[in-house]
Amino acid sequence: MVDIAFLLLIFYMATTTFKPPETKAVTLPKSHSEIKLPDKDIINITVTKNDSVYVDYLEPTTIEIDGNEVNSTVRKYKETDAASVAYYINLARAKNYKALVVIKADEYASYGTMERVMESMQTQKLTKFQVVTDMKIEQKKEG
Amino acid sequence: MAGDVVEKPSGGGGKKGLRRPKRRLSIRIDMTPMVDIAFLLLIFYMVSTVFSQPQAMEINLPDPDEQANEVEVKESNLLTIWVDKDNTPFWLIGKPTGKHLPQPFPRDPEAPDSIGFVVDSDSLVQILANENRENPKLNTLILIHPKANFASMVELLDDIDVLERSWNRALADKLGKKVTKLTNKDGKFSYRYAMDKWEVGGRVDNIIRAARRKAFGEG
Repeated sequence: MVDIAFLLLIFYMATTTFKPPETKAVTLPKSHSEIKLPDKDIINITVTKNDSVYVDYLEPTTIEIDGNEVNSTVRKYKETDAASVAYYINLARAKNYKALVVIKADEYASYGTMERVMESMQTQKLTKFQVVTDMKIEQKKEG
Repeated sequence: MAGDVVEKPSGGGGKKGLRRPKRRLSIRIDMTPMVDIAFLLLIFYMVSTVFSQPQAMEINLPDPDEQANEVEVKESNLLTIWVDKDNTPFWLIGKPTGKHLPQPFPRDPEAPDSIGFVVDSDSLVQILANENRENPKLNTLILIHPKANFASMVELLDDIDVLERSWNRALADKLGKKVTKLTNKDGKFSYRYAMDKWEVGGRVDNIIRAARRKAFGEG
């Protein structure tokens, strides 16, 4: 029985996938939106509360294994700033045109930085994107 | 007792006839309680783990070519919302003058530092709802100070979205249709708003400073 318990433990240890390690911790703003985020084909733009901007996406490539070309993805993580973020988004979209742009910004990020990010996207005609938020739960007042 | 000292009798003499003076003692510990604790922990974590699913809010910016077109709006049809650098929101219908200054939104008494709306008669959503109900041709313009938090923009756009959804839901119930099947011909409500740049050091700063003085009595 103990053997079975350890087998289960090892199975879960081997199959658990964690979020990519380089992403910065960000406190998300709250909203009532219930649209779920898709988990593939996304280009992540992270804006921390110190107004640093990072672009993070998976780029499809082919790698050679035993002389064969195999399709795989490589993770690109770039630190950038509000003005050049559109350049990196276009780079990412050139490799994967279906990708959705997702902005994960800290709630204390200054609005000025976000405005510049949105402006730089707008000039490149990237007008549709999503903002990741936490669920806002209404506190019902008693009495 | 959990541990027991078990004495093994020494083999008498052994094959070679050597005497073994030392007696071997083996100590056996009962491991059952440890396995019990391991399972308890496992069951606790299996039951209490909740995976947080991130939610997303969709934003559609206007096309940059369309945005360059200026739209003429009558003063009485314009609701302007300003969010100052300390995240205080102000609103006004019409053009701001010395006599006609923006007023701050009433704050949620339980979260005085946020814009967040209170679910009763004096709240941001109520103000938006009332003004839009009285004037269906109302256009909203939003200006946010560059030093304000991003959360202010998200909360404002979220409140607008909540208003839009609740009105459309009420309309769908009245017409007996599903919300997703509402069309513009049914009178589907789509909140019209535009965001503009707050030029720091310009006229807007003076207006809001005057509004703050009037509302909070700052010098």
